[in-house]
Amino acid sequence: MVDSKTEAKPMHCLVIIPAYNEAENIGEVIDKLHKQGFDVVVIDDHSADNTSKIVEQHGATLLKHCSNMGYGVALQTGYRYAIQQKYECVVQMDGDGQHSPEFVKTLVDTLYEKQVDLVIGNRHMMVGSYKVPKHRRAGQKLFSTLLQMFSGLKIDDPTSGFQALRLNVLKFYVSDLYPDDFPDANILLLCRRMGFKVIETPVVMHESSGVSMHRGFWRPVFYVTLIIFSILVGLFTKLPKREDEN
Amino acid sequence: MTPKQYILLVVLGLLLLALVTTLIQKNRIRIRYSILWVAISLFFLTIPLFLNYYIAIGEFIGIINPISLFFFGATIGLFLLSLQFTLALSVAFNQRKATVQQTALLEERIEKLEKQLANQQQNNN
Repeated sequence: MVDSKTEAKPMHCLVIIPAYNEAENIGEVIDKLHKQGFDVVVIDDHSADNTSKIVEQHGATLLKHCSNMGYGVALQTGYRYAIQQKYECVVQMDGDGQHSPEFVKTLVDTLYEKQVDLVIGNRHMMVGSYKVPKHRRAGQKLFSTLLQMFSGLKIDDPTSGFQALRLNVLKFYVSDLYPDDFPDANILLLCRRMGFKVIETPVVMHESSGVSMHRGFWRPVFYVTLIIFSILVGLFTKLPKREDEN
Repeated sequence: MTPKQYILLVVLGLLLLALVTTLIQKNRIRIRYSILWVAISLFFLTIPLFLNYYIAIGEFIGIINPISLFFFGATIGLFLLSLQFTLALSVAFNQRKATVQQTALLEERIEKLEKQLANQQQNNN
């Protein structure tokens, strides 16, 4: 399952931050990550503010999208960069301050110690996290139930974007099968079907400072419908053979 | 069909043909997509010539009024057209995604190489 050769030494990890108009918080997040000794790459998804300038000022690697492509595509650009630069693992997190940089090490340590392929930061397992609004929690529970029902994977916080991933997962994520328009609970189902070991670990998350993409009534309804549909599609998607199993 | 309906179809066909021709001239529409619209406009223009055939087809599938047959055909045609454009849009998005990602990665690499080159030149001096 996990390459035993990589377990002898601490993993060479990269922190990926997709950013769109995150000038307000991104600098502080980068500084906190650099203090812990992590390499950081920020993917600026064609921000209208000076996100790029701030990223460069704070010494992180910058990848600039020449047009706005969305969160999933920005993440995938980061994965491609990590593979190109031969990193062994990646931690993905938001640049708006919602994900605590202090917990990046926790995710990496869990990935290393538990010898798994993917670690999801669970905001509900840790005291100190912000209280998720009831309707969003209901959506998370629904995805969680569907995931368990269809794959047997028990994940309490399937919408968490605060994750640590190994190289074998990254190689799968850069394929055409990656649902870049809404990588959410659906991608976890594909990971499970691919045979990746997925676990959760407690992390602290703060309330996002930006405007939520799930505001209003119809947007969340549309999003939930899309994810459910995507989960169902994921059940029938023809998957490739894993490279590390050859 | 009444003469007024014939005239309306012919005028519609001519307008569509003029519009498509203008778009081709201004290079605003790709040839592969324009062929379809030229065919549709020619279909409008030639409806009066082949009306008897259309009436026969309509009767065969149980549609008596030629106008109803026209709407039935148009609905199916538009449905297929939407499907084809959805496919084209998906392919175009994936191609744009690959380009944007590749550009971002290459841009970063060029900047890194430029910095390395500048450092080397400084050291040589």
